[in-house]
Amino acid sequence: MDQKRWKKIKPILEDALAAGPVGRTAFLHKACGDDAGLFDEVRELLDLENEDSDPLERSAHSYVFPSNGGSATGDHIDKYKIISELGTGGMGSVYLAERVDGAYTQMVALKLIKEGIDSGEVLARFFNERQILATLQHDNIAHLIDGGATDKGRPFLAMEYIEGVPITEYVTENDMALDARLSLFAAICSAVSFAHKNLVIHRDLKPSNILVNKDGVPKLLDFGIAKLLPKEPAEAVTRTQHFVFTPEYASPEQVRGEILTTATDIYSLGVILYELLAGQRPYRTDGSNISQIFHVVCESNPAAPSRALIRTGGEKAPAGDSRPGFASKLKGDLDNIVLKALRKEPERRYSSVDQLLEDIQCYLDGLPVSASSGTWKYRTAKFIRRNRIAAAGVLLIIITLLGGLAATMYQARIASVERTKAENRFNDVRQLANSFVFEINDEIEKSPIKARSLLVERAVQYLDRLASESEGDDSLTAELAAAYEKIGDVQAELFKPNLGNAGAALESQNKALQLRSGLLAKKPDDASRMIDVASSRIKAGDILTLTGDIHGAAESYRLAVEISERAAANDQDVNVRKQLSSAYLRLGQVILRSGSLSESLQNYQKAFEINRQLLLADPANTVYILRQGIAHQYIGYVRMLMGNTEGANSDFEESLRSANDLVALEPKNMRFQRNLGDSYLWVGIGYRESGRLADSLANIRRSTDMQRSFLDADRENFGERNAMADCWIELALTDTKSTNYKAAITAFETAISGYSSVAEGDKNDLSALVQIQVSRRSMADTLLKMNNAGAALKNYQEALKVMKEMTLRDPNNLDWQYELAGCYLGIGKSLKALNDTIGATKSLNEAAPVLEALITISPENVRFRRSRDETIEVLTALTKSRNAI
Amino acid sequence: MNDRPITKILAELRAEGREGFDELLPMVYAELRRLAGHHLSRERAEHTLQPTALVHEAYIRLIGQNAIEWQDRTHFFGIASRLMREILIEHARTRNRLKRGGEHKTQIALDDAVSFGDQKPLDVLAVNEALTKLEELDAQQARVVELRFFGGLTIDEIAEVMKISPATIKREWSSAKLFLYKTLKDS
Repeated sequence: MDQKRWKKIKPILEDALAAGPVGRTAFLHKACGDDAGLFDEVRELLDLENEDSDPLERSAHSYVFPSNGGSATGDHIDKYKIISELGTGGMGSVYLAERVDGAYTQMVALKLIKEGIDSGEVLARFFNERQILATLQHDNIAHLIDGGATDKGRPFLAMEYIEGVPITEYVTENDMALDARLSLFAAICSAVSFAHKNLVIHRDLKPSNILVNKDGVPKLLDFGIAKLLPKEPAEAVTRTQHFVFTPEYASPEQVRGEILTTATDIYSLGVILYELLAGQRPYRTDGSNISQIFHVVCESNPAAPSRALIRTGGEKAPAGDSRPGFASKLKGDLDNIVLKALRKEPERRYSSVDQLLEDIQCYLDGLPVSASSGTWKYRTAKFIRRNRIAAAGVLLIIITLLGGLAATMYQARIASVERTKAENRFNDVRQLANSFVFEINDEIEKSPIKARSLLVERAVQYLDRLASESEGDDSLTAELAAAYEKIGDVQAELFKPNLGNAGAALESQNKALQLRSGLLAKKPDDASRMIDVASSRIKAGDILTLTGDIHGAAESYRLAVEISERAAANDQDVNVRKQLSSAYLRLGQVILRSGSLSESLQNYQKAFEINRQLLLADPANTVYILRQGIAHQYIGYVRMLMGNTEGANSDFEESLRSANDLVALEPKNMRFQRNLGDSYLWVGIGYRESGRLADSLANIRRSTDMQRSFLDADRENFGERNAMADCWIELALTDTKSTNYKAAITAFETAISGYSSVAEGDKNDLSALVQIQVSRRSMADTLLKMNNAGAALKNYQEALKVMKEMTLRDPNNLDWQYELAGCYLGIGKSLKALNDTIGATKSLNEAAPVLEALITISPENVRFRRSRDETIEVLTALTKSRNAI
Repeated sequence: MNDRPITKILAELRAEGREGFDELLPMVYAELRRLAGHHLSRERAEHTLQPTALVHEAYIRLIGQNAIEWQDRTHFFGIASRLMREILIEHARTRNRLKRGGEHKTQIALDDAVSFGDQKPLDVLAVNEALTKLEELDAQQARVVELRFFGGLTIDEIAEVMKISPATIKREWSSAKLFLYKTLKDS
């Protein structure tokens, strides 16, 4: 081919490509005229077009330098282009990537989960990490820029890319003086301290994770990577732990595979400081032999930095200093500071990073440092050395919580109380924290549930102790309240499947409420303090709802609404309005169960309206979109109960639309996925009510399929089991309405066994217990339709027995009363079918007044009316037949 | 290094609408070589040398990464594309030599297997030869391929570098690919 020929071929070829394959031959004939040779040449080229295999679309370096990870250099991920791999680990890889969508360029460090291990649990942890990182906004921490998912749905994190050199290299290259080194180190301490206060421990602090950029600002990288550690099985944790740490910077407890606390980071900071001062690490290991590492790190004592400097002469002294001169500066205070951070026993190190930081500051200011003062008293406790690890992820949250609070507490105390006393006191508490961490270590292997309960119990004791001394110190009081709230959350939510400690959770929330109410009394017009009180009220209401105290919950929510309204009048801040919206939503929910439908609807609509305004102001905010969808579900449900099936369906469809939008935005966001599953279920329920049975079934099936995959990803999660059972019961109800009775019975049984496993796991979760009865009663309804009155009767009676108990516990729950009436009605119908006219009449006479009372409270509820009408109808028929005899 | 700031040179080049290899190439090349040496000296034995990473690093070091005009960056990459082509071809040659009986035979066979997966492997050296043929026929089109395949630039970026509309670049790229596939098939 020559230039002339190609000039002729090219435009025809390009036009044909642009026009697409349809009608191509005709086009070519026209374009090539009677030049048959040209036609053939173009045709041959066009035949090489192959959309499935277009290897030139990948850049040359992806062939020359194939990466070993799942993602190749040059690939596009969302709005980023991968430049190169920065590092790789067990969970995935980190790439240098570039933002390519905007008018400006931005380099990021892109973290991507490895293909094939993106199970639900790993994903959940990944999102958890994202959340953690999002809160870590600090000048000396590489921050989170973005997060999302690849085309294939693999999630990624985009983090600030730091162009710099490791801190140790930086001080050497720049020949930095002692004070400058210490200032640099102090900046790192403040970053680590900040993280600790945000309940994050780093666990892999080392110079290569601390880069100093060209402006001389040190930045901490790779925060929270340890959060991605798999929870189970235990061996995997051990193994990963061994791989995660870097032997030279690992603490003894890390090498031994024990539970890690903030003290581990303090140790690693000590190693780094050692290196910054002495130009060498405290220990030398060849890094390959585990037992050697073990011996060196856990048993041998490092030389003081000043001695190491003199003896080995590793580091040349900074400019203007002789080596002995530099060493003599280290001698004394700095040696003491470093060695204190490096102590073998975690509880003998600095109790918080702030304390280490303070000593550094004191040194720089020429003040006495605590490490040298000798006022610290230690109760030495020898712990049995353990090689096993038993750290469930949840435990770490609590331990870091304690560590973080301890640091805050220390700061607060130091300001107000005499120092020595504070130190002793603090040490006591610290001791407590440490000792139970070890107790837990033993307990957890025998019984994780017990260990977790113990852990929480101790955490509460710990907080109580601090609370007794917090008076007069507003910031400490606020911290404590927040800690109580967190512990309460853990008790109620995180540990719900295992602890079921609703009473204790309520107590924690009430303690938080008490502390916050006290703070509000001091500043009655402070909107943020009002919001804190409202938050505690909502949390308390949530627990009361869970335990079945509907009126108590309603009262709690009402107070939350009231105080949030007051806050909103003072301050139109977004957070205030968000809080107000959730308070209304909760109130609507609880009234739905205990009062009139229209009142419930009013509250829902208020919540909806506030959220709508928020969404208008911030249309891309996924939280608002999510809330809007959920509000639609609630409102739709109320409308359905009021007999407005058309209105209900449009609400459900609206919620489904927004749920789909959210999933499109973040395909791997589990919350959004769950919301989509819920939306399908609601649409299915709505269609069933309006008689669109095929549509109903299709939507409920979709929901069931989704829910099954959630459950498969986390089989121990009681929330998932509950939701799965919810799907089954709705499936059964639609099957029944479609007269597909056999399938319905199977589905009911599956639902019952699902709810039962939840109810057995948590005796305080009454809603699961009630759901079992709802399933039984509904199954009996179906059995009755199948003319199996005997089996129906048995199920009704069983359900009745439990519902009688439940309604005694909380007579205000309308749903439960309705369920009770349903059992009576069902028994009446069964007995009628079995020709026990007297028994039937008796049971129906129990049902009637309950239903009448329900109608009085909530006259708009069509279900109540339907059941009442049916009861009267059956009673009338019975009377007629008796009269006939 | 040259005393004139690289950002200024880039701005001038952009204003003049030319690529200006002559002026920038030595600077970029020197920085690349310096960085390559630096990387190797840091015992990054487990990492193969990655030219794109180097170019990016060179770019950041020479220009910085804050508040840079997109066009400047694009131009820089346009300039570096030719260097990258050279580096990539050189590296591919070395690997081929090793494959033909060097001591790292197994190792390379292994990572080849890992890398391509379902992707059709491509002989980068053969592409280079085919591209040389295209250069004789249509220099502008060949430049598009160089920027795209060796430089890793997007269509829009190439449009910016070459001062041609993205639609035209797209056409050029689509027909160039078919030309290259045919040449590869025939060779």
